[in-house]
Amino acid sequence: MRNLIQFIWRQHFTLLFLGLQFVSLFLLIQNNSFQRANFLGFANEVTGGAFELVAETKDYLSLKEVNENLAEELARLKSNEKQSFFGLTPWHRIVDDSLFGVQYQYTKARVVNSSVSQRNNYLTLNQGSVNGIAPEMGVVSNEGVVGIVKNVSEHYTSVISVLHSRTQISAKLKKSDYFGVLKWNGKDAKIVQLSDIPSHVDISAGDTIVTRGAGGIFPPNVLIGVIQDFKPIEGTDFYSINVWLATDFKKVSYVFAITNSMLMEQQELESNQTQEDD
Amino acid sequence: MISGVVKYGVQFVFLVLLQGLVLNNIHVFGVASTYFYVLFILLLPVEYNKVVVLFLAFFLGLSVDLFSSSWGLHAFSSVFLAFLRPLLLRFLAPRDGYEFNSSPNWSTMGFGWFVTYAAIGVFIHHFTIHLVEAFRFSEVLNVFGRASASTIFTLIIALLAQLFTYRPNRTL
Repeated sequence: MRNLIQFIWRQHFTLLFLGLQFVSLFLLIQNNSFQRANFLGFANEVTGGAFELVAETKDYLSLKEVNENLAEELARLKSNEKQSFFGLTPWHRIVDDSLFGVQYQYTKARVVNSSVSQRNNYLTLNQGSVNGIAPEMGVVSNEGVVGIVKNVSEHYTSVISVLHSRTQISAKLKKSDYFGVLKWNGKDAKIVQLSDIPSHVDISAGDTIVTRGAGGIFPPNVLIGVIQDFKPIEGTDFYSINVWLATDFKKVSYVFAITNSMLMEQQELESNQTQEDD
Repeated sequence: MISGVVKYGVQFVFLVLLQGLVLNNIHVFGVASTYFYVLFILLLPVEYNKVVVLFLAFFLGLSVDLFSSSWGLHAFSSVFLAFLRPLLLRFLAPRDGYEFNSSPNWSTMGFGWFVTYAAIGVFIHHFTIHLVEAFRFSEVLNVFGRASASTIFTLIIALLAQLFTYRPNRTL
């Protein structure tokens, strides 16, 4: 016993070091699971306030660009309005609304903090659980896909960006509907990698890549980007494809979180299926 | 003693806010980012209690983590550096030892010594961060490149910051 105490006393520095490293590693690994502990939500609330202050000042600097984007969006919406269509048929068309239920709902949010320079990047939004945002919701901007909600506090949300080592998005070629998995190799914040596209598929640079909408997180056909270049992987039947992202993560400032009202139903059904297989 | 606590307390808060609100957004040529706050650990007086340094490093890292949504990453790297700091100081010790209660900076130790010391310390820290972040050995070359570029960037900022407090021919 005395030897043990002596040992601890002699090695207290090293033991303390190992202890602190263990705590840090524990936090790191905890953090990797999608649902985080509650106290991290609290931290979100504290730093979120500071980030919001900074973001408010920064907003002025990008006002012009944001205005342009909004004007573009407005123009697009205006041209879809009923008044801007000319009736080509002489009779009235009856639209039965009960045929369509709303599946995807969009919640507007401002990005108060974001990074592109790390291997694992995150965004912080100024809307939280009060506004109906929940973990694992998809986040898009009006340019394209942004990321997936990771953690929500009352008024803030942290989002795993597409530029993250653990983000995997199911994507497809708009032209031919072949689908693959989208990941980021950590090198260039503008380019992500699409894998699992078989090499017999006819693709060319400039082809549009959109979401597949398989997991229910994103609606199908949301723009991701265009093919920059591609080459077949030797010894396999697949391409390695570089995709130029539509979203510029360096200046993304307004985004939408997507609620899928049928997600629960889909997941329930799919989990039943895997249970039956086992 | 009290003035020391206040001084390091203010430095601590200032460096965390600087890192969290400003430096985290700076990214040079798409490769170099800086974790300047690490200088806090390196510039603590040589004889400072090792255990206290370890705890300070842990909370410093944790505070920066708070701003970077990277729980444990900065804490891990900072504690690692704080652990190696006594070894590094012993390894680089001048022949007649360190001045009593002095901070190992440019004006007390000279330019060449400070750059060597800071470069090794900063690189250990930055390399750990990039490696833990990538969490894959297949990216080790990429990590090495990014860590080196970031180290150079941090060193430049560190030297510029030291110019503000540089006092040549300090009375001994």
